[in-house]
Amino acid sequence: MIALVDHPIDVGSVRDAVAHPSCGCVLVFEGTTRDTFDGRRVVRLEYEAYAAMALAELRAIADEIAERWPGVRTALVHRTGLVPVGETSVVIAVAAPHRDAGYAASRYALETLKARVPIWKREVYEDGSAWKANG
Amino acid sequence: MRVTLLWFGPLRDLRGCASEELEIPAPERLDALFARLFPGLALPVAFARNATAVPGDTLARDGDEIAFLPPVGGG
Repeated sequence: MIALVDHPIDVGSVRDAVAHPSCGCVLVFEGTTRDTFDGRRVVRLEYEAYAAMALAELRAIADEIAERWPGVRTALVHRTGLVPVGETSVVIAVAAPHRDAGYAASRYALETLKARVPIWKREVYEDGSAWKANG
Repeated sequence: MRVTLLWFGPLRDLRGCASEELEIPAPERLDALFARLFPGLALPVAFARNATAVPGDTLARDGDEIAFLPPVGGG
């Protein structure tokens, strides 16, 4: 499952997309909107995507994981639009035969997504907003 | 020649639109096109041609969909 959605993510369905009898573990990472940044109160995050390219990059990441960790199954779903505090902006689900590959693949998926996928994030405060890039 | 430009994030705010059609007289390097549209802007961008990441010296050609990508913030 590789998708961009503009509504709350159904985390259970993302998890179910990867769970498999051949896999002894499932890891689900959710990125959620935190209520502060640098001491400023965050009201919500706003995400926008270059959809065609973002989907292609997400698929490429899943393919890289499959090649690097054989048997690992990956689902990547990112939300666009307004994501209020406490809600989930991204779900990364990986199922792996064994946990070492699962943890590694989950981390790889997140860090690679944050580095490469053409999605942009605006932090909205009570008194303004700012576009925030990943480090 | 005509290209479609897509704008995202802070560049969309600066440009005032999400997309536009632009006439260019001849194939033009993407980095040069960006510098022409935003002279002196100190924002690092990556380049995409037809939804594919490409180097800055790639030429924009008739019918292309071009995007200048600000630093990304997904996840």
